[in-house]
Amino acid sequence: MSLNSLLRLVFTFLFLIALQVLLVRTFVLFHVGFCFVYVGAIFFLPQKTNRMIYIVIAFSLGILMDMFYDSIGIHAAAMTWVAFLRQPIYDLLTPKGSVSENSWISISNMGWRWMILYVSILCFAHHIFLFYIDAGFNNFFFSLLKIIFSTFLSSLAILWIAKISDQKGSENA
Amino acid sequence: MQRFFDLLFKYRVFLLFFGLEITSFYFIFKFNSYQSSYFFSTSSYYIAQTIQVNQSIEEYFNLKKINKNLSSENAYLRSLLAIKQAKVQADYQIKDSIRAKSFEFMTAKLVNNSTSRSNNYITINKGKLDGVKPGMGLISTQGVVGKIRNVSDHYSVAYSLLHTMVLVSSKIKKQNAFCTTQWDGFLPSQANLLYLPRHIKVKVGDSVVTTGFNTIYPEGVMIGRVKSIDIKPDETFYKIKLTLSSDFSALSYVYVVKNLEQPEVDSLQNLSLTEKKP
Repeated sequence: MSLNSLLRLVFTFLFLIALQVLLVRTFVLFHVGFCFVYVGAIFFLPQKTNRMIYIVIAFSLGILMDMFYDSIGIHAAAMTWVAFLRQPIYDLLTPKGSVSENSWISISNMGWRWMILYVSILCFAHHIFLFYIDAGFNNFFFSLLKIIFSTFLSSLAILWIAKISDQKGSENA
Repeated sequence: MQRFFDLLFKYRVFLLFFGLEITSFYFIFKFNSYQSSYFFSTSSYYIAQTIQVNQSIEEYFNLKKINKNLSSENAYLRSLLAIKQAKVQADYQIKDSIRAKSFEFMTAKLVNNSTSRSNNYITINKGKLDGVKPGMGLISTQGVVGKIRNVSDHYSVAYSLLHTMVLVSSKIKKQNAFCTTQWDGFLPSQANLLYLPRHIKVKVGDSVVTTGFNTIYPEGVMIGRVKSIDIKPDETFYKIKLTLSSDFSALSYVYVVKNLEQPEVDSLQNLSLTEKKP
């Protein structure tokens, strides 16, 4: 793994968290569109990362966000769930042998179509978990509306970050 | 035994996932209902410091609204002053000096505020060292805002009125009819009015205020106005929607309400609860 790529990865990770905490945390569109870009922080970690470490990182990140949202446990639960789902979703979207195991998860390696599906499915999984734990099932359809709007916004923001931090090649390069 | 460990190892990812989910849910159920979890919340010093950066960015965009609120508050205070002066001139005397001051108000600035989640919280920049305690009320000049949940040395987190678990003892001002206000989880501008029996005559536009029964808020603080009324022939209580008087999205300064008589009232009530029947 070249130093440049590693720095880029770490920078993306921190940038997403900072963006969430400092800017989009209080941003809500028409009372239904929330933006949770920090979820994207765990989307682009190398495919080779041990799944256990991966889940622990996601859980810690969730706890950190909970501190800012005064909702201890809710974001952590949703993040752990997404981290667990990531591998199955990745396998589902990627036909065997089509992409090298060591490739970065980036738009230029995987293509736009793959990336949009990957990001939006995981965002949707995160939001559905988050909003239904937070609100319970009373206001079912209002929550669903929030989930759909927010998935759209979060995915858009994460894809934008993916575009600017795009890197070609593989971890071994 | 070996096979057991093999099995554990095989499903280690799932087990870790499951364990962390259990931990999260434990947190959710334990800490979200207690008032003790100030470490993991925005009342924690470093979190609050970070959030202030965010708040100051947002405040910049809201300057116009904040200005408007402050000037209307100024006007309100001036009118109070005028009334006070008139009373002084009329040689007004308080008969019982011990009753003269049962509430104290402390100004606090909002550090964090959410309005669109299903359970909203407010963080303010006054804490334990300023005399804030869990359970105190929070009001603005426009009306009821919330109730303190937990405090750290310099900051406190409060349940917003926009929290589905918060119930406020309220009454229709004109009729003196008692009822309860609870947020419905939809828009930050409206709430439900519960348990108003059908024999009370209520009109759209009636003011709803606090009762002063629960020693958290003074009596007569504005909550909102009746927006819509609905009752089915077989129901005991009205279905009423309120328009809340506080504009939660533009809150910037609030007052912490300290009831000086609260310890006395509470201990008296506790005493009569535990007392044996004669």
